[in-house]
Amino acid sequence: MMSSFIRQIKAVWKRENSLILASKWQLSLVTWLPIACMLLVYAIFSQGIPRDLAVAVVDQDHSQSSRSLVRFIDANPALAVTSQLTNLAEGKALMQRGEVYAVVQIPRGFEKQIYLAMTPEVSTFYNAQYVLIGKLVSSNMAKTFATFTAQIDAVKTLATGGHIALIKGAVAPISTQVNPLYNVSTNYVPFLVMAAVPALWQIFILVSVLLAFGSEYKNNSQASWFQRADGVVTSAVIGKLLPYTLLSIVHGLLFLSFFYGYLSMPMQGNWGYLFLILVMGVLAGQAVALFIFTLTMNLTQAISMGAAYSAPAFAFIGVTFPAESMPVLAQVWRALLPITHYMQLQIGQVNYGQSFTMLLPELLALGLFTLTFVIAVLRIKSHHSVGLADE
Amino acid sequence: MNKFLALVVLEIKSVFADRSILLTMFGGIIMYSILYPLPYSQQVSRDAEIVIIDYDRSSVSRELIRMVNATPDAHIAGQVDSVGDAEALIEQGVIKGFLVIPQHFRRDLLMEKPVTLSLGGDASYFMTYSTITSGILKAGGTLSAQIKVARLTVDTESMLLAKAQWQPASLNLQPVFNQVNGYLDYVVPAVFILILQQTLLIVSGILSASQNERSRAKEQGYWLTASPTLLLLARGLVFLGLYLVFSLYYFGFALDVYGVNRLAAAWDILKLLVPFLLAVVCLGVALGQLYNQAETATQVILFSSMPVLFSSGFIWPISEIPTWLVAISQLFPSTAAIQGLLQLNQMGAEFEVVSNFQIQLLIQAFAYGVLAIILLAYKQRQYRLNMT
Repeated sequence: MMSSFIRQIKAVWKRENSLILASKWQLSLVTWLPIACMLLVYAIFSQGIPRDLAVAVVDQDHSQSSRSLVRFIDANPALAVTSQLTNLAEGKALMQRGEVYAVVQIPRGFEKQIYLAMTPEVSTFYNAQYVLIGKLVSSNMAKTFATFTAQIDAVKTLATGGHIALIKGAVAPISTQVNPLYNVSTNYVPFLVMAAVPALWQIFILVSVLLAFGSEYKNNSQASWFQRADGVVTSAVIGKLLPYTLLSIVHGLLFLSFFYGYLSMPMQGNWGYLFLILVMGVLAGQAVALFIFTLTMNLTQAISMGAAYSAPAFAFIGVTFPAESMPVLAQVWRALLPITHYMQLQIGQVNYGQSFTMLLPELLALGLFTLTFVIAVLRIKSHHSVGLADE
Repeated sequence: MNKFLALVVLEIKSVFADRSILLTMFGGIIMYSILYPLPYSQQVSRDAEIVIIDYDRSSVSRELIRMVNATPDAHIAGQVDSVGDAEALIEQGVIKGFLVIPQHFRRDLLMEKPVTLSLGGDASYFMTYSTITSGILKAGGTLSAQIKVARLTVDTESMLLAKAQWQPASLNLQPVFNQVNGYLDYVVPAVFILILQQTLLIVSGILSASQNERSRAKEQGYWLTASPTLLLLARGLVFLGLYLVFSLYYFGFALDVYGVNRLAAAWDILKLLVPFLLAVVCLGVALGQLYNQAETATQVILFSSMPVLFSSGFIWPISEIPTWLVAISQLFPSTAAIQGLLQLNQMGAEFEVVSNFQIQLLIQAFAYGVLAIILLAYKQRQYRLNMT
């Protein structure tokens, strides 16, 4: 019984391998194409920490202090003063053209007001249409400005004969030390890329399964497929999925070892657990793919549905925009995507080094997806027997 | 002219006879217009959960805790005894950060010694991390200023002067074009352009590829006999008409429903939109000649979506993207359209500012048009040779 089961699977698996090798497109899809797409996403963000974001300055004071502030801004590695303008209107136009991300206006009488303790106000208009870049510019501007004023303050306090040891406390009674945990360098590669790449990986997992099963029905070649499995649908399905399961796991291992091996990004977890998570992620994705396919049993339509299901997944992962702030409907949709649970597990393992008991709930969630295998196989079975009855 | 009208009718029939095309066009356009904005419907994330580790337990530390809780950015879920406990809560996904108030916080402040608050935030989630950081920096800064003013009042006995003196200069950080830093305003207008491009590339790809399939099955279709130029014009006209309706839905109705800025006049938008759609149709027809199977179109476009979106310059600064990738991204109509339409509709730029994008799109439309005609002619010859 067991040996015939294995023999059937082996026969289908062999047939599937030759099918893959026979189609140039299918072969690309399971070999180099996913790797190329993932490397492309990495290449876009490979800089990791943005540098020299363009800022325009409108210096209406032309004093030593205002020039010093401009130097402070330029010295911040994230910012670069690319143009000095005479009025704000020019700055607005540059911002609309996307040439600068912010305009800093230093008012007339800036230096004089500092000495008269009149607290002059420097305005910084930053482009918030690009939220991510805008946040980077504004937080770096705030940091730079704080250093600038602290320096002035220290000089003034010294000048009034303040005690050197007390100056720091007098200038800023409370300072805050901010520690970014789990991504110490606040680099965008571990943050954005490590979420985008798995989202892309899921799309490839889904599509390769949809294409493999859909092609059989499109080419009306089910008979030869089931025949290899002696008409046993379960073996036919498993044998057909197997090459894709293995290749998708290999792709997963490749991106994990690229980031945590080759690029040596920090990894706190256990590679064994990570492997388990990877396998579960592939199985869950394949189960859903098969289920989607059985909804229509039509290749082109199944791929359209798979596209609708997997293309927006990145937005729902919750890495760019926090899941807690999503409406209930989004949270529901989010829970229905295997990649959400995979990402929670990956972050838990890579960043936090979670123990097995802590992984368990999300692993079970991925496990639940594999139940759709059963439904899918039953649907293929009934479709198959209807087909046999028609003959 | 009659020949052309007949072609248009045939093309319309082909489009409406294909269920995959209809599913992608009507189903996809509507579904994506709901699904993509869904996670961001609350615009900004607020009240990130944090815990406090208060080693001081004084009146001043309680005041600080009250102030942190009062900011819209952070919500205090409770207090724990150690950093280890707080990190465990982060790793269980319960909280996103913690604030440590050091021992002798109140005493040091009274003695005018500098004190340092320490803030730990989970940088695995950047958005939440920056929300927490800005919230606590704000609260800490306010308390710091209050203390400084109080001290200066003692020293100078003039509240007014003290208030002015607490800081040598102040910074007014003003977000423009998207005043609330909202995610809907950020993502939706750009993603809508991408969806229009990708679905249009898919449907024109499916149409061409399924005609290729039928040609291979020896069907002598109108697409093999019509003049390639007329065929491209007919197909372009049909898809342009359909997609102008979809664009109206996206840039009119949908943006309105989501409350996203619309600063440009409809006419100015059309001046960018029409060249954009033309460029996409021509690219779609050209690409379509390369597919042998109808379903390949959807796959190619699906895989390319993320790289195309990420390289279009609104998520990640163009200056930070490798030059060779920037060059490639300029080949997609969406890159110019996203930048142009964002500047026009979201940032209120005059049309002159974005006219270079219009030119870029027109060049693309022309170049892809020529390419499409060449490929159409090539395919026709290939199949006609196979027939004889």
